[in-house]
Amino acid sequence: MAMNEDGTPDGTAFGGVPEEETLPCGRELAQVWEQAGTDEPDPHTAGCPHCAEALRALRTLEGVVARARVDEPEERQWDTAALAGRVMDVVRLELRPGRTLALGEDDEDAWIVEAAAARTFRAAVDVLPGVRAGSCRVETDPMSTATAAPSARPPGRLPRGPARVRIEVQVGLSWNLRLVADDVRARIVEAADSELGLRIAAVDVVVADLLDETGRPDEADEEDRLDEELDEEDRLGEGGPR
Amino acid sequence: MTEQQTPRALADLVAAAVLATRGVAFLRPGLAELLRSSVGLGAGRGTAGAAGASGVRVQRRKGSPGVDIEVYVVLCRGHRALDVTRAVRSAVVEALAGPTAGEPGEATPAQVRVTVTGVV
Repeated sequence: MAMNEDGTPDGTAFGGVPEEETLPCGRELAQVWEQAGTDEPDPHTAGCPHCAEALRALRTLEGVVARARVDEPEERQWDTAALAGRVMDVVRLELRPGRTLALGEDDEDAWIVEAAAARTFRAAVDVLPGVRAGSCRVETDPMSTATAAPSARPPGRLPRGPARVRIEVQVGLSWNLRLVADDVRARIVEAADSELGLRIAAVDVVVADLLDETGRPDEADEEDRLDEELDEEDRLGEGGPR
Repeated sequence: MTEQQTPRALADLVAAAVLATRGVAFLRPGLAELLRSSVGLGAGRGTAGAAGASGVRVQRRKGSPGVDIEVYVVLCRGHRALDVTRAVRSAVVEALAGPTAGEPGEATPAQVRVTVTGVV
Protein backbone atom coordinates (compact mmCIF):
# COMPACT_ATOMS: atom_id res chain seq x y z
CA MET A 1 0.00 0.00 0.00
CA ALA A 2 2.73 2.41 0.99
CA MET A 3 4.44 1.66 -2.28
CA ASN A 4 1.39 2.84 -4.19
CA GLU A 5 1.08 5.98 -2.15
CA ASP A 6 4.76 6.71 -2.63
CA GLY A 7 4.54 6.21 -6.38
CA THR A 8 5.82 8.85 -8.70
CA PRO A 9 3.39 11.53 -9.94
CA ASP A 10 3.08 10.04 -13.44
CA GLY A 11 1.34 6.95 -12.09
CA THR A 12 4.25 4.52 -12.15
CA ALA A 13 5.94 3.02 -9.15
CA PHE A 14 9.67 2.78 -8.67
CA GLY A 15 11.44 0.70 -11.32
CA GLY A 16 9.05 1.66 -14.09
CA VAL A 17 6.40 -0.89 -13.08
CA PRO A 18 2.85 0.40 -13.67
CA GLU A 19 1.28 1.38 -10.36
CA GLU A 20 -2.19 0.11 -11.21
CA GLU A 21 -2.81 -3.39 -12.49
CA THR A 22 -5.13 -3.77 -15.45
CA LEU A 23 -6.98 -7.05 -16.02
CA PRO A 24 -6.98 -8.67 -19.51
CA CYS A 25 -10.59 -7.49 -19.91
CA GLY A 26 -9.48 -3.85 -19.61
CA ARG A 27 -10.83 -3.21 -16.14
CA GLU A 28 -8.47 -2.06 -13.42
CA LEU A 29 -8.06 -4.49 -10.52
CA ALA A 30 -8.50 -1.79 -7.85
CA GLN A 31 -11.69 -0.63 -9.55
CA VAL A 32 -13.14 -4.16 -9.63
CA TRP A 33 -12.38 -4.73 -5.96
CA GLU A 34 -13.82 -1.35 -5.03
CA GLN A 35 -16.97 -2.03 -7.06
CA ALA A 36 -17.41 -5.40 -5.29
CA GLY A 37 -17.23 -3.63 -1.94
CA THR A 38 -20.19 -1.39 -2.77
CA ASP A 39 -22.55 -4.36 -3.45
CA GLU A 40 -23.87 -2.57 -6.55
CA PRO A 41 -24.54 -5.02 -9.42
CA ASP A 42 -22.16 -4.72 -12.37
CA PRO A 43 -23.25 -6.54 -15.59
CA HIS A 44 -19.68 -6.76 -16.89
CA THR A 45 -18.18 -8.26 -13.75
CA ALA A 46 -20.97 -10.83 -13.48
CA GLY A 47 -20.04 -12.34 -16.85
CA CYS A 48 -16.30 -11.69 -17.04
CA PRO A 49 -13.99 -14.61 -16.08
CA HIS A 50 -11.06 -12.25 -15.36
CA CYS A 51 -13.10 -10.12 -12.98
CA ALA A 52 -14.54 -13.27 -11.37
CA GLU A 53 -11.03 -14.62 -10.78
CA ALA A 54 -9.92 -11.29 -9.30
CA LEU A 55 -12.89 -11.30 -6.92
CA ARG A 56 -12.23 -14.93 -5.94
CA ALA A 57 -8.68 -13.96 -4.99
CA LEU A 58 -10.03 -11.05 -2.96
CA ARG A 59 -12.44 -13.33 -1.05
CA THR A 60 -9.59 -15.75 -0.34
CA LEU A 61 -7.47 -12.92 1.02
CA GLU A 62 -10.32 -11.72 3.22
CA GLY A 63 -10.75 -15.24 4.57
CA VAL A 64 -7.08 -15.47 5.50
CA VAL A 65 -7.23 -12.14 7.31
CA ALA A 66 -10.39 -13.14 9.16
CA ARG A 67 -8.86 -16.44 10.30
CA ALA A 68 -5.70 -14.69 11.41
CA ARG A 69 -7.77 -12.33 13.56
CA VAL A 70 -9.61 -15.26 15.18
CA ASP A 71 -6.37 -17.16 15.80
CA GLU A 72 -4.64 -14.14 17.28
CA PRO A 73 -3.55 -14.98 20.83
CA GLU A 74 -5.29 -13.29 23.74
CA GLU A 75 -2.08 -11.50 24.73
CA ARG A 76 -2.08 -9.53 21.51
CA GLN A 77 -5.26 -7.82 22.62
CA TRP A 78 -3.60 -6.28 25.67
CA ASP A 79 -3.49 -2.57 25.94
CA THR A 80 0.10 -2.35 24.82
CA ALA A 81 0.44 1.30 25.82
CA ALA A 82 -0.60 0.49 29.39
CA LEU A 83 1.71 -2.52 29.49
CA ALA A 84 4.62 -0.46 28.21
CA GLY A 85 3.87 2.08 30.91
CA ARG A 86 3.98 -0.58 33.60
CA VAL A 87 7.26 -1.94 32.26
CA MET A 88 8.73 1.56 32.42
CA ASP A 89 7.50 1.77 36.02
CA VAL A 90 9.49 -1.38 36.73
CA VAL A 91 12.59 0.19 35.22
CA ARG A 92 12.15 3.29 37.36
CA LEU A 93 11.66 1.14 40.43
CA GLU A 94 14.88 -0.69 39.76
CA LEU A 95 16.83 2.51 39.79
CA ARG A 96 15.14 3.69 42.99
CA PRO A 97 13.83 0.59 44.76
CA GLY A 98 13.15 2.26 48.11
CA ARG A 99 12.17 0.29 51.19
CA THR A 100 11.19 -3.35 51.22
CA LEU A 101 8.31 -4.97 53.10
CA ALA A 102 8.17 -8.51 54.41
CA LEU A 103 5.68 -10.95 52.89
CA GLY A 104 4.30 -14.08 54.51
CA GLU A 105 5.18 -15.69 57.81
CA ASP A 106 8.10 -14.93 60.10
CA ASP A 107 10.13 -17.90 58.90
CA GLU A 108 9.77 -16.95 55.24
CA ASP A 109 12.35 -14.91 53.40
CA ALA A 110 9.93 -13.23 50.98
CA TRP A 111 9.81 -9.49 50.33
CA ILE A 112 8.17 -6.86 48.15
CA VAL A 113 9.34 -3.33 47.43
CA GLU A 114 7.14 -0.64 48.94
CA ALA A 115 6.50 1.10 45.62
CA ALA A 116 5.09 -2.10 44.04
CA ALA A 117 2.74 -2.59 47.00
CA ALA A 118 1.70 1.08 46.92
CA ARG A 119 0.97 0.87 43.21
CA THR A 120 -1.22 -2.19 43.78
CA PHE A 121 -3.20 -0.32 46.42
CA ARG A 122 -3.64 2.78 44.29
CA ALA A 123 -4.95 0.64 41.43
CA ALA A 124 -7.38 -1.11 43.79
CA VAL A 125 -8.73 2.20 45.05
CA ASP A 126 -8.96 3.81 41.62
CA VAL A 127 -11.74 1.40 40.58
CA LEU A 128 -14.07 2.87 43.21
CA PRO A 129 -16.56 5.31 41.68
CA GLY A 130 -15.87 8.94 42.50
CA VAL A 131 -12.47 8.19 44.01
CA ARG A 132 -8.96 8.92 42.73
CA ALA A 133 -5.99 7.51 44.60
CA GLY A 134 -3.01 9.75 45.26
CA SER A 135 0.06 9.35 47.42
CA CYS A 136 0.38 5.98 49.18
CA ARG A 137 2.92 4.93 51.80
CA VAL A 138 3.26 1.45 53.22
CA GLU A 139 5.37 0.55 56.25
CA THR A 140 5.46 -1.96 59.05
CA ASP A 141 3.03 -0.92 61.74
CA PRO A 142 5.15 0.47 64.59
CA MET A 143 2.52 -0.59 67.15
CA SER A 144 2.82 -4.20 66.01
CA THR A 145 6.58 -4.35 66.23
CA ALA A 146 7.00 -2.37 69.47
CA THR A 147 6.59 -5.43 71.64
CA ALA A 148 8.07 -7.99 69.26
CA ALA A 149 11.61 -9.22 69.66
CA PRO A 150 13.93 -7.56 67.17
CA SER A 151 14.71 -9.94 64.34
CA ALA A 152 17.74 -9.90 62.07
CA ARG A 153 16.91 -8.50 58.66
CA PRO A 154 18.87 -7.42 55.62
CA PRO A 155 19.74 -3.72 55.37
CA GLY A 156 17.08 -1.52 53.81
CA ARG A 157 14.29 -3.91 54.73
CA LEU A 158 11.55 -3.03 57.16
CA PRO A 159 10.99 -5.20 60.24
CA ARG A 160 8.53 -8.05 59.93
CA GLY A 161 4.97 -7.46 61.01
CA PRO A 162 1.59 -6.32 59.72
CA ALA A 163 1.70 -3.25 57.51
CA ARG A 164 0.21 0.17 58.03
CA VAL A 165 -1.01 1.92 54.89
CA ARG A 166 -1.50 5.66 54.51
CA ILE A 167 -3.25 6.70 51.33
CA GLU A 168 -4.44 10.06 50.07
CA VAL A 169 -7.56 10.16 47.92
CA GLN A 170 -9.53 12.67 45.91
CA VAL A 171 -13.28 12.21 46.32
CA GLY A 172 -16.28 13.44 44.34
CA LEU A 173 -18.23 16.28 45.95
CA SER A 174 -21.46 14.31 46.20
CA TRP A 175 -20.00 11.31 48.02
CA ASN A 176 -20.21 10.60 51.72
CA LEU A 177 -16.61 10.84 52.85
CA ARG A 178 -16.96 8.45 55.76
CA LEU A 179 -18.48 5.75 53.55
CA VAL A 180 -15.85 6.35 50.88
CA ALA A 181 -13.10 5.97 53.48
CA ASP A 182 -14.64 2.67 54.57
CA ASP A 183 -14.74 1.50 50.94
CA VAL A 184 -11.12 2.53 50.43
CA ARG A 185 -10.07 0.57 53.52
CA ALA A 186 -12.00 -2.48 52.37
CA ARG A 187 -10.44 -2.35 48.90
CA ILE A 188 -6.93 -2.07 50.31
CA VAL A 189 -7.40 -4.89 52.81
CA GLU A 190 -8.83 -7.09 50.07
CA ALA A 191 -6.05 -6.24 47.59
CA ALA A 192 -3.40 -6.81 50.26
CA ASP A 193 -4.77 -10.29 50.87
CA SER A 194 -5.78 -11.39 47.37
CA GLU A 195 -3.07 -9.76 45.27
CA LEU A 196 -0.07 -9.56 47.58
CA GLY A 197 -0.45 -11.74 50.68
CA LEU A 198 0.48 -8.81 52.89
CA ARG A 199 -1.01 -8.58 56.39
CA ILE A 200 -2.55 -5.20 57.19
CA ALA A 201 -2.70 -3.68 60.67
CA ALA A 202 -4.28 -0.35 59.78
CA VAL A 203 -5.28 1.82 56.84
CA ASP A 204 -5.24 5.60 57.22
CA VAL A 205 -7.31 7.36 54.57
CA VAL A 206 -6.66 11.05 53.97
CA VAL A 207 -9.12 12.97 51.78
CA ALA A 208 -6.68 15.32 50.12
CA ASP A 209 -9.02 16.97 47.63
CA LEU A 210 -12.57 17.04 46.28
CA LEU A 211 -13.45 16.35 42.66
CA ASP A 212 -16.08 18.17 40.62
CA GLU A 213 -19.34 16.54 39.58
CA THR A 214 -17.78 14.89 36.52
CA GLY A 215 -15.52 12.93 38.81
CA ARG A 216 -12.47 14.55 37.30
CA PRO A 217 -10.17 17.11 38.83
CA ASP A 218 -9.46 20.08 36.63
CA GLU A 219 -6.24 20.12 34.61
CA ALA A 220 -4.30 22.07 37.22
CA ASP A 221 -5.27 19.53 39.88
CA GLU A 222 -4.30 16.66 37.60
CA GLU A 223 -0.88 18.22 37.01
CA ASP A 224 -0.46 18.61 40.76
CA ARG A 225 -1.38 14.95 41.21
CA LEU A 226 1.22 13.81 38.66
CA ASP A 227 3.82 16.03 40.31
CA GLU A 228 2.97 14.52 43.67
CA GLU A 229 3.35 10.99 42.31
CA LEU A 230 6.77 11.82 40.90
CA ASP A 231 7.79 13.45 44.17
CA GLU A 232 6.62 10.35 45.99
CA GLU A 233 8.72 8.13 43.76
CA ASP A 234 11.68 10.25 44.80
CA ARG A 235 10.78 9.94 48.47
CA LEU A 236 10.38 6.17 48.19
CA GLY A 237 13.81 5.96 46.64
CA GLU A 238 15.56 7.73 49.48
CA GLY A 239 17.68 5.57 51.69
CA GLY A 240 16.93 2.35 49.86
CA PRO A 241 19.54 -0.28 49.07
CA ARG A 242 21.06 -0.56 45.64
CA MET B 1 35.64 -24.91 36.19
CA THR B 2 36.90 -22.18 38.48
CA GLU B 3 35.32 -21.07 41.73
CA GLN B 4 34.00 -17.92 40.05
CA GLN B 5 32.31 -19.77 37.24
CA THR B 6 30.42 -22.19 39.41
CA PRO B 7 28.15 -19.63 41.09
CA ARG B 8 27.46 -18.19 37.66
CA ALA B 9 26.39 -21.57 36.30
CA LEU B 10 24.21 -22.04 39.36
CA ALA B 11 22.71 -18.59 38.81
CA ASP B 12 21.74 -19.58 35.28
CA LEU B 13 20.17 -22.78 36.63
CA VAL B 14 18.23 -20.81 39.24
CA ALA B 15 17.18 -18.18 36.67
CA ALA B 16 15.71 -20.86 34.39
CA ALA B 17 13.76 -22.39 37.27
CA VAL B 18 12.43 -19.00 38.38
CA LEU B 19 11.36 -17.98 34.88
CA ALA B 20 9.45 -21.25 34.48
CA THR B 21 7.41 -20.47 37.60
CA ARG B 22 3.81 -19.48 36.97
CA GLY B 23 3.18 -15.83 37.74
CA VAL B 24 6.76 -14.68 37.10
CA ALA B 25 6.95 -12.11 34.30
CA PHE B 26 10.72 -11.68 34.23
CA LEU B 27 13.73 -11.31 36.45
CA ARG B 28 14.76 -7.86 37.56
CA PRO B 29 16.33 -6.51 34.37
CA GLY B 30 19.54 -5.40 36.05
CA LEU B 31 19.77 -2.23 34.02
CA ALA B 32 22.17 -0.61 36.42
CA GLU B 33 24.60 -3.52 36.08
CA LEU B 34 24.22 -3.51 32.31
CA LEU B 35 25.05 0.19 32.25
CA ARG B 36 28.07 -0.33 34.48
CA SER B 37 29.40 -3.19 32.39
CA SER B 38 28.81 -1.25 29.16
CA VAL B 39 31.16 1.52 30.29
CA GLY B 40 33.84 -0.99 31.21
CA LEU B 41 33.64 -0.81 34.98
CA GLY B 42 32.88 -4.52 35.15
CA ALA B 43 31.01 -4.23 38.44
CA GLY B 44 28.91 -7.31 37.86
CA ARG B 45 31.69 -9.69 36.93
CA GLY B 46 32.34 -12.64 39.13
CA THR B 47 28.83 -12.57 40.57
CA ALA B 48 25.75 -13.27 38.52
CA GLY B 49 26.45 -10.52 36.08
CA ALA B 50 25.30 -12.32 32.96
CA ALA B 51 22.46 -10.69 31.10
CA GLY B 52 19.23 -12.49 31.89
CA ALA B 53 20.53 -13.73 35.23
CA SER B 54 20.94 -10.29 36.80
CA GLY B 55 17.93 -10.94 39.01
CA VAL B 56 19.73 -13.85 40.65
CA ARG B 57 22.62 -13.69 43.08
CA VAL B 58 24.42 -16.80 44.25
CA GLN B 59 26.96 -16.70 47.04
CA ARG B 60 28.85 -19.57 48.62
CA ARG B 61 28.91 -19.69 52.38
CA LYS B 62 32.38 -19.36 53.82
CA GLY B 63 33.44 -22.29 55.93
CA SER B 64 30.23 -24.23 55.50
CA PRO B 65 28.53 -26.11 52.68
CA GLY B 66 25.64 -24.66 50.73
CA VAL B 67 24.87 -21.43 48.94
CA ASP B 68 22.82 -18.33 49.63
CA ILE B 69 20.43 -17.44 46.82
CA GLU B 70 18.81 -14.07 46.24
CA VAL B 71 16.12 -13.78 43.57
CA TYR B 72 14.58 -10.51 42.35
CA VAL B 73 11.46 -10.97 40.27
CA VAL B 74 8.80 -8.94 38.48
CA LEU B 75 5.41 -10.65 38.60
CA CYS B 76 2.44 -10.80 36.25
CA ARG B 77 -0.74 -9.14 37.43
CA GLY B 78 -3.42 -11.52 38.61
CA HIS B 79 -1.08 -13.74 40.62
CA ARG B 80 -0.83 -13.45 44.41
CA ALA B 81 2.66 -12.22 45.20
CA LEU B 82 3.15 -14.37 48.30
CA ASP B 83 2.06 -17.54 46.49
CA VAL B 84 4.44 -16.82 43.63
CA THR B 85 7.38 -16.22 45.99
CA ARG B 86 6.66 -19.59 47.62
CA ALA B 87 6.51 -21.29 44.23
CA VAL B 88 9.76 -19.59 43.24
CA ARG B 89 11.48 -20.85 46.40
CA SER B 90 10.26 -24.40 45.75
CA ALA B 91 11.43 -24.23 42.13
CA VAL B 92 14.89 -23.01 43.18
CA VAL B 93 15.30 -25.73 45.81
CA GLU B 94 14.15 -28.36 43.34
CA ALA B 95 16.49 -27.10 40.60
CA LEU B 96 19.50 -27.16 42.90
CA ALA B 97 18.68 -30.68 44.05
CA GLY B 98 18.84 -31.93 40.46
CA PRO B 99 21.76 -33.73 38.85
CA THR B 100 22.86 -30.68 36.83
CA ALA B 101 23.62 -28.68 39.97
CA GLY B 102 26.94 -30.45 40.58
CA GLU B 103 28.13 -32.58 43.47
CA PRO B 104 25.43 -33.61 45.95
CA GLY B 105 25.25 -31.11 48.77
CA GLU B 106 27.54 -28.64 47.06
CA ALA B 107 24.74 -26.43 45.80
CA THR B 108 22.23 -27.03 48.56
CA PRO B 109 20.60 -23.68 49.18
CA ALA B 110 21.12 -22.64 52.77
CA GLN B 111 18.94 -19.60 52.22
CA VAL B 112 16.61 -18.54 49.41
CA ARG B 113 15.50 -14.92 49.57
CA VAL B 114 12.81 -13.86 47.08
CA THR B 115 12.05 -10.17 46.51
CA VAL B 116 9.24 -8.86 44.34
CA THR B 117 10.49 -5.70 42.65
CA GLY B 118 7.48 -4.99 40.48
CA VAL B 119 4.21 -6.14 38.98
CA VAL B 120 3.28 -5.72 35.30
